[in-house]
Amino acid sequence: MLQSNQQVRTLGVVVLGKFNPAIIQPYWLSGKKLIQESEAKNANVEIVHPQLTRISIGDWLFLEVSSERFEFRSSQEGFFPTLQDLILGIFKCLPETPITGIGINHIMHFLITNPEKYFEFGNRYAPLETWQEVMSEPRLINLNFIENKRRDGREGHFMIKIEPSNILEIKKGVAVSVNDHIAFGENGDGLTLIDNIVECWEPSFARAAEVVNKMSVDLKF
Amino acid sequence: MTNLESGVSPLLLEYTSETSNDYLTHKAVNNILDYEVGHRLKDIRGKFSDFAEIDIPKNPFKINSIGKKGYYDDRNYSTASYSWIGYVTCINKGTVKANLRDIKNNSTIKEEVEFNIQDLDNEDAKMVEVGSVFYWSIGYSFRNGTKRKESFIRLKRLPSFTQEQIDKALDWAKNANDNLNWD
Repeated sequence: MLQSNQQVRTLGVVVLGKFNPAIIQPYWLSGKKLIQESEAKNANVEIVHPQLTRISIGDWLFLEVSSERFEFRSSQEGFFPTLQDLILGIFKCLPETPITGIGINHIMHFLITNPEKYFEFGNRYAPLETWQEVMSEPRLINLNFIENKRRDGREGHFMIKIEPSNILEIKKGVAVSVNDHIAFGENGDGLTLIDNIVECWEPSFARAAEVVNKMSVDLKF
Repeated sequence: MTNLESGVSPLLLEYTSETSNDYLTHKAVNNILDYEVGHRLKDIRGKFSDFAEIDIPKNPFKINSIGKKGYYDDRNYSTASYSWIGYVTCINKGTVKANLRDIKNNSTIKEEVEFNIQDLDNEDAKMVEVGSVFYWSIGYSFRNGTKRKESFIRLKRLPSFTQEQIDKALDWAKNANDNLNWD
């Protein structure tokens, strides 16, 4: 199973809309009881500014807020449900924030120690012999696939990206990124976001798992 | 009443002459973060009704640097071999009893568990009560190349409902009940 080769899993949630970065501060979050007070006290604040806020809470959360983009990121798998709660909590406090869409991004890094298996990751989906006439030992750098019309009928798109991992050892790590993007249009707000997070969170994880299962079968792991 | 009489600083007045409310808000907040937080924020909130709710304490932070990469490092990560969501059913003499559901495998089977209240963070230990919902995760953490087995329990945190939200929910429930058609 390919799943057993998974090392790092990062969850990134990107919310698009109109934001006021300056208010997203550790003590605002703890004041709303969304994080612990000690976490607020010990937060790493890189910048809090009207155009950009960038903070880390403990080792489980990275937040970056600009006027049009609000990014949450965590590589601590046990905290993924907490991350969902945090997003719900923030936009419950800011229900009238204009929101145009959300991306739930799953980035999974797999350690592939067998060189033949590593080669097959690219060769299976983009046969390299196609290029042998014009290239010497062609290798794949990255692959992107997009589903423009989402199969669940929602507006948005679904993307899969396969590339060498930038975290694991060179030539032994493969990163598979799944970008699950849902568009709300111009009438979306914090409450629209909450509804979509509640409805789409688990299906998004299930679909990322489906992608990995499919690759596991294709590549005979 | 003039703006000065209402307690708005001259610095803020300079910005109130601009035409874009967003710009006004940003600039004003910027100055407040540099100076005072308290009553000036209330002034701004009164002036610009579309300004997001804000009640932060005085900003104690300094800007360190603005690089492409933040402090957060994906190389320090953890995996969850087991994950449960649970709710507290009883607290007695420092022992917490709870029901759990496996969320890693999306199980519907209810499991019972007992743990010591000291297994919680101090802040969570103060907040825990019967009915509290929590997450329990067991897995491995990787910090600076070192692998450790890790188990932690963390209370679920969501802001409480406002009276308006409760009223809206009650209205919705009443409406749903009134429109229920029995075959």
